[in-house]
Amino acid sequence: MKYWLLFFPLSTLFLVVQTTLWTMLLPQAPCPNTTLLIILYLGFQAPFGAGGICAFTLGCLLDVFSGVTFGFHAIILLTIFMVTAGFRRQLNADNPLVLPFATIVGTGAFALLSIFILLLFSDRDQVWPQILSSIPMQIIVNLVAVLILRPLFTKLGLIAGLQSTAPFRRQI
Amino acid sequence: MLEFISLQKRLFALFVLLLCALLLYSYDLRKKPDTNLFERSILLLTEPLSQGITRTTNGVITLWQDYLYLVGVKLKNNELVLKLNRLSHLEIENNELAAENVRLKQLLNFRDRVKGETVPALVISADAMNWFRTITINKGTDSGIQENMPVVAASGVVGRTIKCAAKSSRVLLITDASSAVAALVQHNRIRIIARGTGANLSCEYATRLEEAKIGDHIVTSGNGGVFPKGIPIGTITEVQTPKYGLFQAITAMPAVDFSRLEEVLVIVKQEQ
Repeated sequence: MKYWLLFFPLSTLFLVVQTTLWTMLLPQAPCPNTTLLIILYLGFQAPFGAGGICAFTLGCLLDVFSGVTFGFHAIILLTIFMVTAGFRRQLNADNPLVLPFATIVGTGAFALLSIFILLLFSDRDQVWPQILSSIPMQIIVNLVAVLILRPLFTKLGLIAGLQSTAPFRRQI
Repeated sequence: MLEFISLQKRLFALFVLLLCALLLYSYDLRKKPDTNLFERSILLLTEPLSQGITRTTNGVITLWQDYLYLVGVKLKNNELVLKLNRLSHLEIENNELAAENVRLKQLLNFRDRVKGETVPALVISADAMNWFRTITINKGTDSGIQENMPVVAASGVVGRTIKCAAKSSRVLLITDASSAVAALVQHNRIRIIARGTGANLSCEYATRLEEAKIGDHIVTSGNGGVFPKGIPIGTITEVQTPKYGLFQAITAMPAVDFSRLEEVLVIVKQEQ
């Protein structure tokens, strides 16, 4: 509940700022996918159950601000959370390079999952060139955003009592 | 099996959650567009914040453009520049008012041309993701707006409403890949479907029998059940006629400049 109470309002604030301020000041520039960045952080830090619920609700929240069909981002973000949480034992989550690396992979995975789900379920068969062409720029924007937001995530994580499951820490 | 489930309880719960998300998405995809309680609540709660940020940013931009930018000059030229500042402030204000006046006049003229009841609205935000093309307007169910209502601007079709809360609505732009509008090439009446491709429109099912030309205008056909007949959609920019096949490949540029869209009209009641 603590994770949700901290990260849900944060994500809402990010999304409101993204859809208003960002589009007014930088109308042509792609905006960062802050919800994905939160999910990736939670994937490395939060427990499976609480993090999963966070991923699902943040996905639903993103659906309110983006796209056409409710549930679309919920599937994608929950899948990304599950994969990240599944891999975290193999990685040293406390290494500052892990989250940027996960951002690169996660952004690609987000785009590919979007294409897959849109092609599989809906008739948006023309959207994939648009998504594919936007991946490189999206990765750069997300990388810059994660470098800026990481300290904030860490602070909120400490408040929520999140602990990484990095192998060396478990040994201690 | 039960033993396996109890061992992998958390993983199993997450898979159940994923299945729920999949079912939710699949269900939402197949049913008539509507706005659920969660969406309504979030839109209702965030609408004042969105409006506040938009107004504050506009205020700051205006302040910056009208006053702060001139502070340095003012220090150098004292009274003269102060006068100039005041005049330029007034000029900018006048220009802004004149531009707004022109836009609103166009919208008003267009409103008179549209047969039916319309609700004017302001664009308050854009889509949170880069590959969807939706905007949010500051009017919702309180103003009589429902899902699937046509949204237009003075220069042409904007899109249709897809999610409606009490004081705000999301509009799917015609340039979104999931948007398809029944249309006509104005001069030779070829029936087409104008589908969004992100920035432009791809006109599908244009028969080869009558050739479309670059510069031809595309208007709504009134057949899709959402848009009234005869509203401009865009202008043809590219025509390709393949050697084989039944149809021409047509690309069109939307009539509306979505990057500068500020005011729109929602047609809440169409005359039959």
